[in-house]
Amino acid sequence: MARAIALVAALAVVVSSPVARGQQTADAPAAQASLPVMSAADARAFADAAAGKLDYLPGEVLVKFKDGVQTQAQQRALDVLRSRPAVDRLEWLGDVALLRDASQPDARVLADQLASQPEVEYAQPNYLRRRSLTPNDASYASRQWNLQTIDMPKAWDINPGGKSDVIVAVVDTGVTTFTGTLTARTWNGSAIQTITLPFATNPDLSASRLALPKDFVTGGGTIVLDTDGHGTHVSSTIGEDTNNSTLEAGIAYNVRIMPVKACASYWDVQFAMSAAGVPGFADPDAGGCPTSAIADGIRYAVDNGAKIINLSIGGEGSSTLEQAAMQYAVDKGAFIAIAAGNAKLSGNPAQYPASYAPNLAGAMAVGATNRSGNRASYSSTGSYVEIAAPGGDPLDSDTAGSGFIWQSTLRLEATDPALVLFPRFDRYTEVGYAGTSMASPHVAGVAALLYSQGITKPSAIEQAIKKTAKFLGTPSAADATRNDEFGAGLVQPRTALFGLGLRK
Amino acid sequence: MKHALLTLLVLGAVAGSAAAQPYSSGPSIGIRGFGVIDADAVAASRSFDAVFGSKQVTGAGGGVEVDVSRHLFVRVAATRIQRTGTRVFVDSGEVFPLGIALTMTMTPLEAGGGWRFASTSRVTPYIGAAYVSLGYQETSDGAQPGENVNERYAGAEGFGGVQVGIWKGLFAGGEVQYRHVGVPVVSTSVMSQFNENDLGGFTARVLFGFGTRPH
Repeated sequence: MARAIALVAALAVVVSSPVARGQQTADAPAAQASLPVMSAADARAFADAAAGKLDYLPGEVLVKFKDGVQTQAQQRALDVLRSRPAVDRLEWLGDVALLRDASQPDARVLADQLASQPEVEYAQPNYLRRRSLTPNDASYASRQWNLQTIDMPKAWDINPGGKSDVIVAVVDTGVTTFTGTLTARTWNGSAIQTITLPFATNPDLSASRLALPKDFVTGGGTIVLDTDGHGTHVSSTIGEDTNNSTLEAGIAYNVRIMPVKACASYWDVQFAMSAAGVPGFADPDAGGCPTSAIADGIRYAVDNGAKIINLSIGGEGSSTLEQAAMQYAVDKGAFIAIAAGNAKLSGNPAQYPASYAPNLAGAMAVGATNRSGNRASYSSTGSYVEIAAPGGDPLDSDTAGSGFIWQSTLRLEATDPALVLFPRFDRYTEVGYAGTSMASPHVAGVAALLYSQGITKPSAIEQAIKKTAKFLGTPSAADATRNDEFGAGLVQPRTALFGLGLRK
Repeated sequence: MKHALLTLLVLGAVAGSAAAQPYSSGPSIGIRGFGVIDADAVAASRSFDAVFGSKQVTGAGGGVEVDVSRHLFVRVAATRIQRTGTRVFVDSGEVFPLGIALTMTMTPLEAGGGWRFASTSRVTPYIGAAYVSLGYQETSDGAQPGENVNERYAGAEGFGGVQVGIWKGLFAGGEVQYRHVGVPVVSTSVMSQFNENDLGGFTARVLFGFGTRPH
């Protein structure tokens, strides 16, 4: 009873704290504007994917024609499909076309048919990546054991927070860049209703540190709204404001964060369905991160100055478009940290985009460790795991959630569709998450510090992180410098930053 | 170190005074004290270039020579070389300076001897060899216990040069040396990244001193 009272008291303190409410910004758009929503077709695709438990958007295929194939030949290739779609229906993402064919929801069938055509280089479903976390709703927890485990205070002695001219792109559910209210339509259980949604920026991630945001999912353009919390939590690990007696600390707390929204949340789908007049609730699992949006987001980030990219997302199904975007990014000088995946307990299938990492010099797949220093129970293993970082673990935690990764993000009580009909996105607090989603931003933050320190090449950042890692576990028979659980080992920021002397 | 060098110079001066002979002729046994300025082109050139921005370092010191016969002499000398650079990261030969100050101090102690060729002029050529004991210290800003270096390595050198009598006991000279000081490879070091394990190299030395030499 006393413990329950203590937990309630802690909740009350957090809720009533002024820092739990979003800070005001001077440049917010006019109130009562409409919430940007994705198209009805997109919303339906997300909803259908959730209902069918699909890892791709139904009826959507990414097609790359061979070089030199003109419009007439492209049409000839498309004619293999029963619906014989016109070539002018293609949406172009660079030199890759997105085809939507509602008559054939099984995108794998579409992809196979198109891939067999001589004019086509490749055709793949538009896969949906998922956020790599297990959310926790514990009300109270001990604080950031993760930063102590990797000795961040000593790393900060060498490099206190990185430089503000370094930009880290977070390709995720977004980080809210707007403060104010927007109108939206949603289902209230019996009818579609217009509601007012309050938004606010994270009070522990200064708005001045948000750079060049972009939304690739809901059509919000340069206004990004996190309606989930995942993107905000990830960004907080990378660089939450620090030394301000507010909420938690972030690793590279001086760098700028580029919010790139490539993942739709449940609410994004729900609001779009209701805006299109579709009655009912969206599937609870609705949402995800289309590989088309991920690829667009990665290219946008690199073309606009991001030197570090974090991808706390994953799924099964290889995507050439996604892989090509990552290659583009490292070729342009950006380092990429990728969550290795949380599928160890569900058969441990290979995860993407993590699996591309070993073949990309400057991209690293990050596995998760728990508070006890072991591999987190869920953390995927495989030859593609290159490094490990704290990710938390529900199975290595107490009832207060001490084994999770705690950072500032949207309050679950205000956003969880299982708890609320009418959410609000202006309430922030410390929330504990666990997953390789949480491990990856540790490496992204360290990479940002290394870039700030002078290692300005992604392949060199990767080598610096690998060569200074603390080896964990048993060496692999094939390569004694690594294993499939932890890769090269636990990231050691201070050792990496300290570099090499002439003799030591 | 300074006191030792001064002592050597004074000893040389006293010995020279005691001999009390013009430089052009003297007793069969001589003793000379000298100071030196060295310019070194280190063998670990890529490593030094990475950390200090140059493979050349300069040092100063002194020593004393004692003639044991008309031509044969023994010599001891000590110098000090100090340079400040930055810690770095090296990836496939590419160097990334990290801006963390690193100060290196080398103190080679030489003990050897040589052969002075017969000469009827003020110019006397010579060659020789010596055992080298190289003290090596490396300190970095923010280093934790065990991260600085304080070690001593053994090596050898060969040298040759000329001494020129200037006036009475004063002389000057020039000398070139090749020194080899092999050091253990430490995997977490810049030298290991470039596969360099020799802290020796070529030295160009200028000497100036006081004393006598036999004829």
